[in-house]
Amino acid sequence: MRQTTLSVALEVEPVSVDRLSALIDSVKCQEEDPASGYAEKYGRLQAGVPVLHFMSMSVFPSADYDPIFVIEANFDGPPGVFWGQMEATLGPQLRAMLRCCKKPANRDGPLFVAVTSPDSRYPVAPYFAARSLRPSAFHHGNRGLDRGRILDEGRLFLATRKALAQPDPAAPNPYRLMPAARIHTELRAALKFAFPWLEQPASVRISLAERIGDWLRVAGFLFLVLVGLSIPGMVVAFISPWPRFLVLFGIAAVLIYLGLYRMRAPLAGKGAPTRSGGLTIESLSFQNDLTSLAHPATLTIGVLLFLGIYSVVASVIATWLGIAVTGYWFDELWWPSFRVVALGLLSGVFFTLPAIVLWLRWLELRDSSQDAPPLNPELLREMARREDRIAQNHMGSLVLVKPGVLRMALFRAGHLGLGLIVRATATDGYLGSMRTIHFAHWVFVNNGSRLIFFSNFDHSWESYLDDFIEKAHGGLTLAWGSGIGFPPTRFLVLDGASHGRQFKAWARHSMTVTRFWFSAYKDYTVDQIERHARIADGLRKPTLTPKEAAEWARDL
Amino acid sequence: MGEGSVTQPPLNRRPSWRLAPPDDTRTQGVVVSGFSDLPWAEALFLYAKDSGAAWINALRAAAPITNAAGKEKEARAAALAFTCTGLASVGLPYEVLETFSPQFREGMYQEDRLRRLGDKIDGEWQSTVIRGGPIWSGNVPIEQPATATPSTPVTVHALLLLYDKDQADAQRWAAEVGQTLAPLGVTIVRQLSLDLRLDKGIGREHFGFADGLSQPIPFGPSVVLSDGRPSERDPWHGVPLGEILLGHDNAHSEKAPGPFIPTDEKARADLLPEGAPEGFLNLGLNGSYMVARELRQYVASFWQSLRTGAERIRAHDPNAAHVTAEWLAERVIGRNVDGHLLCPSGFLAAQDGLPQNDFGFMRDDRYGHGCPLARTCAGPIRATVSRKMRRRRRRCSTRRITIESSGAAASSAARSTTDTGTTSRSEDCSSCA
Repeated sequence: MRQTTLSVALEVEPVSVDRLSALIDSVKCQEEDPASGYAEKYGRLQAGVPVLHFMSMSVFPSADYDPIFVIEANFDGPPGVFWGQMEATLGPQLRAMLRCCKKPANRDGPLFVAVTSPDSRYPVAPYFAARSLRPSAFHHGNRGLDRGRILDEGRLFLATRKALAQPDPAAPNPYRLMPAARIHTELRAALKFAFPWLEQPASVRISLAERIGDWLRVAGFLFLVLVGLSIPGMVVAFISPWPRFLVLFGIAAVLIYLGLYRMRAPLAGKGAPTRSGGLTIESLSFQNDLTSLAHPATLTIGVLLFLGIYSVVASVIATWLGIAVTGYWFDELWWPSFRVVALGLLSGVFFTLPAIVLWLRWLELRDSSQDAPPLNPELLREMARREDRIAQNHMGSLVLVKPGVLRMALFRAGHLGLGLIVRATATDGYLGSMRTIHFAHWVFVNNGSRLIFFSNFDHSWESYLDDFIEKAHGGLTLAWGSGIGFPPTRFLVLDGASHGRQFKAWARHSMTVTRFWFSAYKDYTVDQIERHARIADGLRKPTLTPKEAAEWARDL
Repeated sequence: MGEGSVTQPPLNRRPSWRLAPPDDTRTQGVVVSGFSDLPWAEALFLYAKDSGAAWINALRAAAPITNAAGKEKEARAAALAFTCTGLASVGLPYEVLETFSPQFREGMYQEDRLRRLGDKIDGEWQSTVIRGGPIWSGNVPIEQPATATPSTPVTVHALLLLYDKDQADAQRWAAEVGQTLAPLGVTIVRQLSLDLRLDKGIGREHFGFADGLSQPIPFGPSVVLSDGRPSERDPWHGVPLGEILLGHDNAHSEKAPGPFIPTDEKARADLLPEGAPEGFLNLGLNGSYMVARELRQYVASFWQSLRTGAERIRAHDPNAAHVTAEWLAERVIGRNVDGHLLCPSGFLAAQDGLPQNDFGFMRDDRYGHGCPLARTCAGPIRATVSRKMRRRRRRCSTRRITIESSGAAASSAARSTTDTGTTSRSEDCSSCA
């Protein structure tokens, strides 16, 4: 099943901040009250909102804006069902919280009034649905596993532990004498009555259509990027003969490369060279698998193929546009269109893109970073008090975004591209080599002037950020590097988060206390959920080959 | 220098490392050496009541602190570390203490640290801690609500380690130091005897397993190898010097930040401004943070539990006659008793007669067919503890007294007492060397 991540960011009446915080704390107290009538903490939310994986409520103070109240939710299926269940479970509490918020100035104002007026019984769900923000980039760990399945497979795992154990210390344990395939058969027979769903095939975690759709979106994004980069060249190509065009852009490109060469080095003391993961020049090798983009031949063929397809598709589109505008025939416009597209592409790759990078580098050299972000000791204490109580943790951060048209364009495009690529490639439950993220997302607020980041992750905050710093600093710098005060970056993705201590201080400074946090499976890490899924998938099959069984038994 | 904590230098096949001048004379020897030639030591936990700093000069005369130059074999050696309250007691103002790391200022008794370490959760001391809670600590002043920093009966201001060739000499030296300091208001509030007993050149922790095998190898401009060559990053064990020593380049490509002190008449003339902001001197340069934590190992219980486990496995599986207590213990530790790593084919072959340590689990034993994955032993939460972490934890937890410099370094003093009593005891303090 497809999961959904969203945030609702609401401006708070400054005088009502304490009241709102108290209301959120009160919901937390209610959920943790042993006398609540539920077998375990958060039982009401667990039962009332069965689609919910993780949810948080935070109030972000700010020196520059009024506080905002943010609800972050990660759940199965469409938002409508989720908000309906939330209404039924926490409707009165949510309504009271809304009364502490400002009336929006846009068309949602009347809805707000209807929901918050005294004695109102108007449902709150439509208002929250209307105010929901879609993430600019996100990652779902254990992708495709709905909450029910995660919990069911967790219970199955515990049952396998029980079945495999031998309570009598003196009696032989039959499982110890069996080959893996026999263990599978016996275990399946022992458990299938308690877990009848083992007789049914598991639902497909990510359908072929979804995978194709994800890759088509990546292709569409790259297509639009190439179109954008080609525009200056295409405009000139209309009026310039191609030899003159090539000379003109060739000279301009050389000048830009010279500028880039001069500006390539980090500022004194601001470099943070770190070995990078992912696809880099160093990672290219003919020793790599031919199916990997890290194989130079595969990469070259892939790039040329994509550019070729782009040229043809863009030329066809340009031709049809030309027909619509001029009334000429297709064969009369095809070659002129192809010429414009090809020259535009050439200039886009070799001139426009480096020119943008040069402009960016020029900005980076004049950027300020915050070496010692002020940290409020009381706030830090409050955060520490809530962290490391279970295997999972939560963080919420809000930062101001650097101004400027180039920054914003790159930032938005970077988030879009990063989100699409992560969606298309992170299909095994993990984010590359980072195996600790359940749900994480970025979302722009205040017309893009501020950026919120939420993450639900395994283990400590320090180790989580260390994971980012060591393994995904490039992506992290791309996604967060345009935040005001972020450690100095170089060429958008270099340095930045590699300034580990400085980055952690900046991230901590941007965080606020998560006043309310819900996890539907607080004992399970991402890794453990994948292990459960592998065991369950094996047990769903009536038989396994000896090789399959040996692999399956590794997880027992 | 740099030979590791408990393994005899001749058994190390790598060239050892040392600090280059002038940093070697400005750094305590304990940072780079375990003083394996001085197998006996006394750990003196000092408390200075209203004594000011005068006792430090007396101590320097009675027990000169050994530096890291190590030009010749020392007849004896000493190392000194202060707790946060210890530094306050010798007159370091609050503004200077504020420049130390939060972890140092908070101490091990910060409420959230106790919880994270599994010592005290929701107000309850856990079963791994001595009944009633630890006996000693730095007793950092309570700044937060009273529940935030519980205090211990004994306050420690400084930890003095005295190393000698002979047990009697070490104890005699400790007594002399005690007599020197007593008139100055400094008392020894706790004393522990430490020793290093090599078994055929191998240092062993209490359960009997070879120890001190996996040591970080610092690199950076201030590190040279014993043969005079400049240090290079070891792909397996290389650690930037700044991860161990303040004021040097760390893994984040910055100078490891340390405390600094205003440049005024009170500041010591030999402190350097290098790396400190304008108007300050670098108090932390070539210093390090150290964690001292007193543990007790249940040796008999450990082996008894493994015997029981092995019997149970043999009863469950008639084909498991090879499963003995030692076989199980090897899988708990990840190495056999002589330090050879478990691998799918048995043990990793020795190299030059020594255990191989350049080993990557992902490459050579991804599925734990040799060295079992942690996930085979417990439920969901423990299941994710990586073997890398286990290896590291094992090194830290299998000594009754472990004294480590901060970060990944464990090349500092690490001795173990011979006491294997039955009561549990756990005290700790953060110190700055």
